[in-house]
Amino acid sequence: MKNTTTDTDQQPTSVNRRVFMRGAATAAAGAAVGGHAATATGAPASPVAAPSALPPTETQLAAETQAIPRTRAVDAYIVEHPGSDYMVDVLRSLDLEYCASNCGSSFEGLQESMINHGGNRMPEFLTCLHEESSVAMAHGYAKIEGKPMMALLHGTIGVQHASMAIYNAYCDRVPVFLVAGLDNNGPVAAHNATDMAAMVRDFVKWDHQPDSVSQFGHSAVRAYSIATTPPMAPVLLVVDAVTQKAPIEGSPTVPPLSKPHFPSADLGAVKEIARLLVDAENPRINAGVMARSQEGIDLLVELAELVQAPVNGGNARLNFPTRHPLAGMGTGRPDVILNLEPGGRGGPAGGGGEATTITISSAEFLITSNFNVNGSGAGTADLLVAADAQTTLPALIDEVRTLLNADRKRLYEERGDRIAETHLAQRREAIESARYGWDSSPVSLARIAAELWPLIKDEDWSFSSPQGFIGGWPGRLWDMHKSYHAIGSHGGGGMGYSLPASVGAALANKKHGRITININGDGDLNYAPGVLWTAVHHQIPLLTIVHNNRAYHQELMYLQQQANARNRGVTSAPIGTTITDPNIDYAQMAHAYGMHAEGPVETPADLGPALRRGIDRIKAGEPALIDVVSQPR
Amino acid sequence: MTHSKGSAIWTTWGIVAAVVAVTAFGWERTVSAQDSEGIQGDADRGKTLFTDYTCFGCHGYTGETGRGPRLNPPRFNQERFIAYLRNPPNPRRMPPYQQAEASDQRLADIYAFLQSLESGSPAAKDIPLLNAILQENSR
Repeated sequence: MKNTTTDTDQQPTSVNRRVFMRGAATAAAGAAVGGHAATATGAPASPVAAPSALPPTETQLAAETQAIPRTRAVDAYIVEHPGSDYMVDVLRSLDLEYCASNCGSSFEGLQESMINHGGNRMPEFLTCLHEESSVAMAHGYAKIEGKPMMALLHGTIGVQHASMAIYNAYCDRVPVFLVAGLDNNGPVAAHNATDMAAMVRDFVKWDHQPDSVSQFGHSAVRAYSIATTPPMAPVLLVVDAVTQKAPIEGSPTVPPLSKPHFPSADLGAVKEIARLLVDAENPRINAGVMARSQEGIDLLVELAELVQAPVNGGNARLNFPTRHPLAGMGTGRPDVILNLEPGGRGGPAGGGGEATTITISSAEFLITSNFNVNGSGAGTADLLVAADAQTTLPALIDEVRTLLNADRKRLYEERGDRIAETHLAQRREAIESARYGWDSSPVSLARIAAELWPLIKDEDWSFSSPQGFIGGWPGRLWDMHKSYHAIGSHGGGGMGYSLPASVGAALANKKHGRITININGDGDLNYAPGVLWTAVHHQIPLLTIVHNNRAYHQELMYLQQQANARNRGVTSAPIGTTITDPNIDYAQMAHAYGMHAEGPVETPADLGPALRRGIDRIKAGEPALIDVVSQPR
Repeated sequence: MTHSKGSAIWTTWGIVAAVVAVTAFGWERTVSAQDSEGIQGDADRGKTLFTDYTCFGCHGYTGETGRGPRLNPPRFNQERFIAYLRNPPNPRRMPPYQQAEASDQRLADIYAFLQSLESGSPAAKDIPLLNAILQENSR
């Protein structure tokens, strides 16, 4: 081996650390003698540079090459095969891609296993700045991807933070795989609870606190199955720190996932529904949270076309293509109304008048003692069927086909033509309505939707936010026909849903190459805006357009009505309802989180170019925000 | 013509009452809607009131957007407009404005503001974006 101390510009070619360190020690000894290293002939060589660090001692050398002896305390402390490693193996078996979480000490064991034993994939840890954001991200993700995301919550306070988002997901019939930590020996006594799940039990479908690692495996698999069987809803596992951190022997097996067939209506009900539909003179179909996937939309199109019935798709999901000739309420008074999964909050329900009403709903299986999640119309119909509507449709379609004859088909043709004319008239009316306030400042909601459409219509796009506060303009103007073109609303009416759900939806869309658009109310955005940082940090391309009407506008109108009902305070409604003085600069807010942002855009002429720049950003893989000062509704 | 002591007293009190009324309510008229025809409205003051009374909430800042009917241009004459605000047919949708401070004068100011508004609403056929959407085929 070359003497590296005489050839200063040559580096050792061997990575043999022991030899290298011995050579360094020799050079140091030579330098101590006379600052020269001796050659083989004994003659002094050129001066050597003093080493920059002291040579290792024998003890240090031994430590480099031999196992470090442990004290008994350290030996007991180090656990190289903790129970939480097995937990991660189980979570991976459930195909959980992501875990959204705001870190907490009660699950530090599980988090460490995720990032080290699991290599931070399957699931990947998504850093959130609020537990409400974690769960809402999982909510939006599931509506795109058709499977749950995990949300990991700190005990007690984290569950409390998350509770509104859990409620939204429950009302919206969306699966979320919740795990909460429990550490009775943790640093803060108030973070413990005897029954951690109690505070949200009324709005999770199932909860369990496994008391061993192997029980965790079985519980997790069961929880996943329950969450993803209609009626879908969040489930919660409470995992205590002892179970996470205790050592396990060997490699426990991961239980297999076994899922039941989804509940379909019984054959008798299917036959009766088919008969009613086929014999109806003027049927109508209402769809609430019906279509869980593209298959659901396609099945509903098939049924509607068979009987030429108009479909009121509602706003809770995209149940039916918005430009289908049968989309809408049709004409005249219906004599038969088929309700498919009417939602408690958003979905159309019931019938009214003299119509025979039929309801197919899995909500009949989802009972909560305290909260009126299914609305006042739940459980009322002339024919009420407890079943999953999407699962029932194939059998219903087959039965309708067997009942159709030439006479009925001729009748349906005329009916279909009338419905199509009505649909076209509604489309024209929407265009006519969109022109009002076109050049106004603040910018009209119709203008925002109309300016966006040419920028996205040739892309694979997804709209991720509710439409109720924006006049429904995307649905009225855009061609929505794929299940991810619109994913509906919050479910439980909890504000603060749009932004994190859109981040979750955009995350799911990302791997499919889709762009995601979110039109977000300013009030809604302010609840937990830290999720803007999450979108930047995890490079989730989402375009957020702030519908900045500078108020909790619904409440502003309600309060004005209340004051007028009491005949006083005609000008006091803005107290407690407006977000002005000062006006919030959302572009600056987004900049603070590292996001590209523009605004406030106050005139329509500036809107189109700003939107185009935003679209360019998200197509390049980055999130962006555009603040638009807009009309109230 | 002779005047009794009583009528003199009533006349005096009437004058006092009128002074009090004018003092309390300023120079604004507080007459009923039936007397409201032909009130001179102030559009600038009306613009402020349109916001203060949250009219924009349902009708948009320019009276053209939102959930409520378009008010630009107004559908009614001034008298009917004021009467409608006082007693809308469906108060759960359009709340009544019966507060004393929402005087006929102030409602007339709002009416004047609505009359003064220019329309920011070109014909749909003149808006290429909307035309393009209309031309796209149904599914």
